[in-house]
Amino acid sequence: MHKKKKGIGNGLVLWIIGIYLLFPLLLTFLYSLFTEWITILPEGFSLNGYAELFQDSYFWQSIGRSLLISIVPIVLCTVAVLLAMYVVVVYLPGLDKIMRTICTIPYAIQGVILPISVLGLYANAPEPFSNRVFMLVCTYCIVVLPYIYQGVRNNLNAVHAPRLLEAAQMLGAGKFYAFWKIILPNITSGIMVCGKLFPDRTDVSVLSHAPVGSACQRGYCGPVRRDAADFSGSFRTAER
Amino acid sequence: MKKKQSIKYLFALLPFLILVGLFEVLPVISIIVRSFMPQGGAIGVTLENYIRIFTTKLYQSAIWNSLFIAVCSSAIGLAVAFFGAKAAYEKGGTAKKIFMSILNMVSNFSGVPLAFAYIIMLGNTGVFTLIGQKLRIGFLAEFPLYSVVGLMITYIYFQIPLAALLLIPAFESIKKEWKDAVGLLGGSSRTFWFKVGLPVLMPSILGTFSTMFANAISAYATAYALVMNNLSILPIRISEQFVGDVVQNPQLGGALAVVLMLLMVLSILINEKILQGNRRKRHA
Amino acid sequence: MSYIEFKNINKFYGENQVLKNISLNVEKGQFVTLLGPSGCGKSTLLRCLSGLEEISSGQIIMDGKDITDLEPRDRNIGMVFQHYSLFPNMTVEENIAFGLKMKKKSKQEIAKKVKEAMEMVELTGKEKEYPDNLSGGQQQRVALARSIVQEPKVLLLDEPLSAIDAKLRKSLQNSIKEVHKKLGLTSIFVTHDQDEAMVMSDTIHLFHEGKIEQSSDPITMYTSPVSKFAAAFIGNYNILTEQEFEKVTGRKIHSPEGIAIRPETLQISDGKTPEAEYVFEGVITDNTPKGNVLQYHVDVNGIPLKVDVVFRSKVLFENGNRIRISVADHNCIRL
Repeated sequence: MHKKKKGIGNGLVLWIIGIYLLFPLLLTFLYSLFTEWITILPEGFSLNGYAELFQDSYFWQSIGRSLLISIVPIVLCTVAVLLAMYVVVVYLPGLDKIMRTICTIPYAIQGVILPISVLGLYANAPEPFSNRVFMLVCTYCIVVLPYIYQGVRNNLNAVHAPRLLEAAQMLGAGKFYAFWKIILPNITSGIMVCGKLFPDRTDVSVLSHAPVGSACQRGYCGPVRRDAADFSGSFRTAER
Repeated sequence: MKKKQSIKYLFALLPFLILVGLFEVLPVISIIVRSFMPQGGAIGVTLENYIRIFTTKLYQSAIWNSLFIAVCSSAIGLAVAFFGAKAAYEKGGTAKKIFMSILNMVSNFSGVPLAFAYIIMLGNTGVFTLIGQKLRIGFLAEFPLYSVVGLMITYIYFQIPLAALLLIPAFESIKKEWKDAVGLLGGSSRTFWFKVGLPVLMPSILGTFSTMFANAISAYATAYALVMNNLSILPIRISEQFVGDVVQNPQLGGALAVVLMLLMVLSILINEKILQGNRRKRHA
Repeated sequence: MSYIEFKNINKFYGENQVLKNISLNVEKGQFVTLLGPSGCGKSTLLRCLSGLEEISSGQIIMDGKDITDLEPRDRNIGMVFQHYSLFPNMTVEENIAFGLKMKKKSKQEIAKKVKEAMEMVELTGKEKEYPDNLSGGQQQRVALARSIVQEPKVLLLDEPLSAIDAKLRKSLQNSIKEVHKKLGLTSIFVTHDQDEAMVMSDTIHLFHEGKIEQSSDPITMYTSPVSKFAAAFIGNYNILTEQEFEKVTGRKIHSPEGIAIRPETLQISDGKTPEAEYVFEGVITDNTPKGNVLQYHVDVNGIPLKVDVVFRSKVLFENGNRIRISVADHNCIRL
């Protein structure tokens, strides 16, 4: 009797929160399907908004650009972190503390601070530093750094990297081979998952809004017009 | 004596060091240094930026608003997320999985799209505003979306998934045996949560609050999309020193950024202090 | 010339000296155990031999060669670890074949040797399994096979059975001894379990705080401990001070470090006058059955003593019974 009551209560809580969270999304979607919504119920069902969007080449360009700017930093950062962890795990375990500090600092400079600092520093520097896309990619690398470091570290801990290294050494493998051919294959699945999990809460939009200028802004963020369909479209492209 | 090992492996550190050095360490140092420089770009050391921040109403209100919104949205979001996470933990099974999928999906819904969604819900011609007008519900009809309150409601929305996703794993550390023990000793479910559950979860709860606070206080996109420059909060005041219609003042912007960083570090330190206090009590 | 020679080995971790001027020899084909409590330095010495740790000073000589500065993979030493350390992304076969792959052996040779090794550790049939599908005992057998298949000169075993269930431990002990006998491999085994050490070894080196307390064969180590620590660590000794000994037996002997008496050498007399040097009386306070041995707790003039008797049929003496105990002088070991 008691258990059933508990189940219902908990289910209710989950339902309420779930609906509260999904509601804005659904509403936005509904909004994109109608041409007019000035009274309580919308009017004019139409898929034209989407048709227009999917035919707009700028839209596809901005999707492509967004994907690029999402994926490249993750790859770059992962490679950099893995190389660094190779040195730390195999040769200099004492460095781990420093690495952890470095990879935690981005939490304190998230949001506006990092993009603005990068901008201030490199806006007038020689190419490629003053290139906005370059700045964007590199800043994004730092933004995702804590998550990637955490993911790699957790995986290395779970797989007991030092023990595997020792066993491999006793069997005739060099340290290099041991790390890249034994430890890495055991953590790649973990890293993949981590790559999908970290929150994309990246206000790097500051960087794109601000310095990028209207032309590029259009390209990156999609046409930011207060038009129903356009907004629904730009929901996918902004903030990545 | 072991023969000298080749240090070739140190080259593997280079990509990381270059990336971090150029785009994390250097920018932070530059912004801190810049904050102590006089406006206009002359070389020198001065506190004029900081003095300005703490004596001008505009910036004082920015700090106050940011703190207010961050603390309140974090507290409320945390409370809601706590009950959600607890419900998910107790229900378990498919319900929990679905709930977590929703959380994951929704945690990416912030910034411009979120602002837009709230505008069509509670803006001047928003759905709920219209319903409120029709049914004469004053609260809905005149909902102040473009204000501190409105911003806070919007922030609470994206704080909830963040907190819930951080808290759900924490609940895994609650052992069923503890509940059984409390039951056998005559305690109710409430007793358990107040005397055992919450204390055990406290480090995770505080850590989550810290993360949420940092997240809220530095959020820019949602605020900009909703109120643009019209509301005084730190991130907006910072960015307008560098780009936009206002006169550029990167030195002041730097100082504001340092203030923001300090606020975030402060929240972590307070967090640590509380946890240390708890630990000391236990080992006393 | 011994097969392995440790010469004046010192090892520091920062300020802490973990190995204090250790000198030790191991003969070819022997099964040697390094025994001692946690933190005494036994694992450290093993790891220094393997090359995974560097020594602060001293020399290690193996088969006539100075291996002090060699990398682990150049020392031709096999090692079995406490936590198995099997490669999770490889099957049993691939794990065992790994060392041979590193030596660039041919596919046929690898297949043949892997099969032989698996037969030796009694794991035939599990070739395609992954480590996390195996039990702890099976995983350790794989680890053992993986080490011996590369035909090392020396086999090191660092507390290999500590993570294994008590019941399974016995069969693994036998497997390890079998392998050692068949291959004639010089083996060095580290453990903190004295029973295990006595069952497995030809020679035991007892470590205490970075130094070797005693080195002897199992029987000598058991019957003739050289110090209080050794007596307390090996077996179940009754350790008495000079004063306590006098209280018990009524006689004075000179042994400032104490006197150790094995519980099984204390004879409970059955009425006939015993022919031992020391005869005294005590009261039974408790008894503890330990399988095939029954341990009586006896109070002799305020001093508690443990007396072990073979458990033949039933408990012969109840609590409160007064009994006569005798012990020969040669069984009272001066420490």
